[in-house]
Amino acid sequence: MSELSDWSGRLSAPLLSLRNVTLSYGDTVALSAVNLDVGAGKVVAVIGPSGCGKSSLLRAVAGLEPLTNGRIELDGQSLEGVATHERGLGLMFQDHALFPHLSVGDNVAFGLRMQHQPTEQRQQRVGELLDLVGLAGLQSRAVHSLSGGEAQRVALARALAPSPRLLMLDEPLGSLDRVLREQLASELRRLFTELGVTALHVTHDQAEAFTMADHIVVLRNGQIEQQGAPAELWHSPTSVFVAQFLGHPNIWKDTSGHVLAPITAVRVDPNGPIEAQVEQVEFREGRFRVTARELVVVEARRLVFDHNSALAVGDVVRLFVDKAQLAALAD
Amino acid sequence: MTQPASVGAAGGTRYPTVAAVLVTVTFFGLLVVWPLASVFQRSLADVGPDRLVDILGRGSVRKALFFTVWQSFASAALTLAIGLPIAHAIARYQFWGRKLIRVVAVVPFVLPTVVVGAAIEAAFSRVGLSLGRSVLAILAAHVFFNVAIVIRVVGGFWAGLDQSPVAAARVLGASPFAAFRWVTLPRLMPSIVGAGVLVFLFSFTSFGVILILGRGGRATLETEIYRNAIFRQEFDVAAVLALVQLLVVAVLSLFAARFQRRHATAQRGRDRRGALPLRTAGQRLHVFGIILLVVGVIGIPVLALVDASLQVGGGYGFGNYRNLLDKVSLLPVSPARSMFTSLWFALIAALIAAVVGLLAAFAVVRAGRVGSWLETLALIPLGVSAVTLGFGYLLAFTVFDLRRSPWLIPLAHAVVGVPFVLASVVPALRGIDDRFRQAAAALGAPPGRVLLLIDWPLIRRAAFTGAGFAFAVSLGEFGATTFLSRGEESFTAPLAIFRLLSQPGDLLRGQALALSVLIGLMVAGIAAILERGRGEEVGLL
Repeated sequence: MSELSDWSGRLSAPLLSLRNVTLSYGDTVALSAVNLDVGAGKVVAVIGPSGCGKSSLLRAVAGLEPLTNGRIELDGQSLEGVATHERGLGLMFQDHALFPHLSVGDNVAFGLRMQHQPTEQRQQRVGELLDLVGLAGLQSRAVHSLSGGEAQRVALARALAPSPRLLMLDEPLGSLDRVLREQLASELRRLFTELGVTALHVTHDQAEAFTMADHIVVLRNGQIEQQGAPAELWHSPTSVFVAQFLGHPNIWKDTSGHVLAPITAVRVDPNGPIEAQVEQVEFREGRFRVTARELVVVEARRLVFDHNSALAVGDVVRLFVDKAQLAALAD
Repeated sequence: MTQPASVGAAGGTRYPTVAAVLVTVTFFGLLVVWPLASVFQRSLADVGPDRLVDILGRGSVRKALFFTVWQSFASAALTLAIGLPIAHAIARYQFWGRKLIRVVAVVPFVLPTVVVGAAIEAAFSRVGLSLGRSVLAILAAHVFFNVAIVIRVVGGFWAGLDQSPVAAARVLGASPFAAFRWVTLPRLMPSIVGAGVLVFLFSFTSFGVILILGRGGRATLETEIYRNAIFRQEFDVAAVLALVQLLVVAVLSLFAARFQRRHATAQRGRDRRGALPLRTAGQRLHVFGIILLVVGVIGIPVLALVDASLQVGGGYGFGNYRNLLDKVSLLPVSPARSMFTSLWFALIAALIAAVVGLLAAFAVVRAGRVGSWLETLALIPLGVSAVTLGFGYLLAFTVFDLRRSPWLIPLAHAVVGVPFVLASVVPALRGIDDRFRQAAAALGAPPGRVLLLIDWPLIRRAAFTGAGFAFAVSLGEFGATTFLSRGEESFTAPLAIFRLLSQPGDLLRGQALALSVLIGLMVAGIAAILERGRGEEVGLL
């Protein structure tokens, strides 16, 4: 993929830019020649399976791991030799990493204290931020008494308090249950847009990335596999890996290689050329997701499609595949 | 009393728990509470307030008290100053010899106090300093003896500390030092205070070391209790001093427990990467310095002891070791025989400690609130000095003339050993997921089988570790034994070492050193075996 995508706006230089960033621990290579830009006010999500180097990417930007090679620039200035605490970043961890020995208010105030802000100003800012994340008045609470969602909001308030140039989120919602996760994800999205926060967001959950990001980067074995705007990425994944990771169910092997059929490309049609037997039916958000296995042919494909009425397992249906929607995938 | 629901599946009927509670209470009631109560009665009721004030006002008592307190403070401060950098290095860096430090550091801690005294004296005289019997030597001995506490308690805790708050602080603008000061140190504090108080208490109740190295006239509460009880028959004075000591121990233990409870922080982070490989030349130099420090503090005294034991009349040889077989007029038996007496006692003591300790552990874990009282009760011998305990036996066991029983010494040793078994077994027992027992019960195992097939295999290692420590502690026990030993039947090796060292003469000194090396080797060997293949754990055991 190109190093500079059109989304980042050629009008202004990106706020954060990674060039050829390589990071290895001994013999293991965590990141290999990564190029990435984050424009001001944009949210970029880095997704990939565990162990793909997402967290290493954040640690490298934060300066918690020294680079083996390459350079990172923030606001046009190289971060080489700039210590973690001098980078002016915000970082939100999956496990909150709240300071267990400090109260909620002292946690949020920590970054301000490091900036030597006067107490009064600090208290005011802490109040504002707790307000912002919906936890007004919880200053003196002990952090261990917080619920998972509350702890995550405190972590957000703490990261935002010193007005970081760039906010980094490491699986910020990973420890929460699904409902809360979805709710917080859209809340974060709204907040970031409102405040104009620039964020680098790392997650293994593609749904979360699609909810929150302007731009998505798929990482695999320490290398960028593909990047683009969410819709672009969803509609035209370039490889089997990306298509599978995003959750596309219809990836078929063809004589010429792999082919992706979007779920909308398959539908029931009495005159369709394909005869298939229903293997599995799941109810999903008002519709039925059906998996059917091709009959008669030697190398039978599994076809997945959405259907408005229930089909029974064992039913034989005729299917039509819209060839215009098919796309070739690299292996 | 209501029983938690899980006890049904876990423990079957309540009778075994009740039996375990009864055994524990009887054992500690008879061998700890009664003797200590006798000390209280003697010092409070029999002596009376006027005489008590009079005794406390005596110059010699005040001098001993003052010295005891300040040398304990100095010992604790020095041990922390030396132990914390070592704890930091083994918690945060991966390097060759890291595990070895943990093993090596525990050896001095289990060495008999008289052997520690002999080793420090040998080290000082080897370097040509005539400070062998100075305050400096006493402090050095206490550092040597206790540095393991700091390394293991703080180091273990530090290694397990969640690192993500540190990263969070750094990102929020804290310099490495600020992150340490505001985020790491506060979370370490409970373990530092805990280790510091422990070192203070062990220095406060130090006996063998002071007797050997303080012969220039340095007296502490311990040695004064001993002198008044054994040589001057001033039981009243000894009882008052023992009372003061018990109070100090109790108050400090309560303080430490409260502090740790109040400042303990729950950890829920997952960033426990622990030690990292060395990356820069500075880090390598740092770790090299730490290894030198360990060698200096622990290696030199040990080497000096071995070296001195091999010196015979200007040359080197095994003469001192051969002489162990000869009877000396100073001792009721030959040094070799005293060693066998010690081994025999240690075996019995370890067996008793293992059986009582296991029962007590079950009682502690299963008996709810009663259990936590029992835990406190069973840990008392760890804090109370052996001298006070021995003195308590002297006062209490006049009744059936138990004092003359040959079983009393191994029993007393077992009392000191049980806390080690408990400290090792209770966490293991608590660590067993109750669902294992429920699953076994659901699969048709009756309570006895659950105990045998689930609990026992999972705590076996901890039980052997505890029993091994009990054995080592018994082998070196000196304080209580000085009060209880009578005649040749019960003359142990530490007593022999002390008596040989207390008289001038190269022959006697040589024998004492050789005997020290042999006992030290056995104890160190046991400690090394117990340490082998163990993971990194928080805590002393």
